Amino acid sequence: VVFANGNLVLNILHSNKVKFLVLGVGFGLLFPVLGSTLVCVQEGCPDGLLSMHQKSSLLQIIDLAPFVLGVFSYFLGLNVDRRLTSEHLAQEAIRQKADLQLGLAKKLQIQNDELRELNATMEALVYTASHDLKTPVINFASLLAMLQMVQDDPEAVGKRAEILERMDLSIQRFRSTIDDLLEVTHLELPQVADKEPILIANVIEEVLLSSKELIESQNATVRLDLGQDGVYATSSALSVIFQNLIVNAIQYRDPNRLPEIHIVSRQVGEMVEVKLTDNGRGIDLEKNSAKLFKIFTRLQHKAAGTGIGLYLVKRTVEKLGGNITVESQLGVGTTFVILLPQTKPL
Amino acid sequence: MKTLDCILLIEDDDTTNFYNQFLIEKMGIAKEVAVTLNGQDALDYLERAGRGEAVTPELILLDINMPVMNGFEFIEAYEQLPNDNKSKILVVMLTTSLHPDDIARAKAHPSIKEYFYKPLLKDKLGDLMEKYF
Repeated sequence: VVFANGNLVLNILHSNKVKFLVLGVGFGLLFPVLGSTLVCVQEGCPDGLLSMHQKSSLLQIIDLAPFVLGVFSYFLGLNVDRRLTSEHLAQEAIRQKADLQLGLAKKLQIQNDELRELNATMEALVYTASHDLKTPVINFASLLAMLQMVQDDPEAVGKRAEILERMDLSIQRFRSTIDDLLEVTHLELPQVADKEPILIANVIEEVLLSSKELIESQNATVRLDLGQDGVYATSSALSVIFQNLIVNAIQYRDPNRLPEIHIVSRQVGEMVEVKLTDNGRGIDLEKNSAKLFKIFTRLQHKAAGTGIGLYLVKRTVEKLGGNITVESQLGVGTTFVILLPQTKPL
Repeated sequence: MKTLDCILLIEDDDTTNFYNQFLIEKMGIAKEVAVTLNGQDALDYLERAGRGEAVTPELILLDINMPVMNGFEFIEAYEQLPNDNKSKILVVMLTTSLHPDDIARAKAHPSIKEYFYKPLLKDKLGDLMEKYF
């Protein structure tokens, strides 16, 4: 029983009131034992110890010592227990408060980092906006000045027509830049708080359906080899990733061959690796690896778009707790390698 | 006003090139206007000029914001080029950017002699020609 209730025994011994009680009774027992021994030695005890106790009222009072000291010690221990408990509670409260503060500080730090990044993105946005909006306006003013210079020149009929055409293009560009910028200001990273187990195949199927028009107009083929494809993510986040990569693969196709995209997945440790390979024109990574995932940066001359697609992809992958790398060869194609967490991290 | 052998435009915007080319021809300040669309394109042009396959420009008008290789990346590469060609080339930054960082960065490069805002104006270009040529 003692061994089975080892914990109970330890708990009881741990309690000060029990310890004090035992010590008090033990100490109290010394009095009658020593008292009787002393009397026996001095006066002899021919009738035995018990009858001596019955005769001597002094010894009877001394016999009470274990009870009195036991009770006294018990209350002393109770007091000590109470004091220790309140101290313990106070310490616990302090520790909890410290934990709370640490948690708040960490949360603040994360929010601070997010704000700083948002601020940098906004700064880049303002810079791009001022450049991209100024260019068509300045062009329009230049063309107007040009028109004034050639208006009386009878040989400049063709020139005048070209100037007017370019004026029209400048206005169009101004409009589309404003539309693009508005789109960017509404841009939000997909929320990844409500992650759940998702099959990549389902998300890709939806993306292929929504990009059907583009895929068919370019005669593109998409091949899927999804071995291990259960990831811990949100479907909106995965959509952003695959939508951008698939559309990019078709948009930056090699004009000399039909676009082919091959998506393969497999398990790598605790992660799922998804490889998206295209046969597009490829990226010169030696020159452009630093710019590839940067916001508002377009690598190619006259490339369509706002320069946010791959930035969004990288940020989203990272928010999901994964990472993305790229391999590419000019004229051969590009492979994006994405690692995503397979199961919920503990 | 002196007529230069060649002016090199480094600019990705088609209409800006159209206008600058027109203005230079109208003013009759260059026998030839070479157009390159980004920094890398321009480096390739200068390499060809070094081999005598193209005319070495006396004036370069350089934009900042360009894909592939922007104006600052170009100027850093340009400053690494061997000196024999560069001594007679004048580099002028021509940009829409009023950003203090860009202006400071341009001023930090000894090879950028002037910082112009678009559009390039007839009077400004005339003054530049008087001052340097």
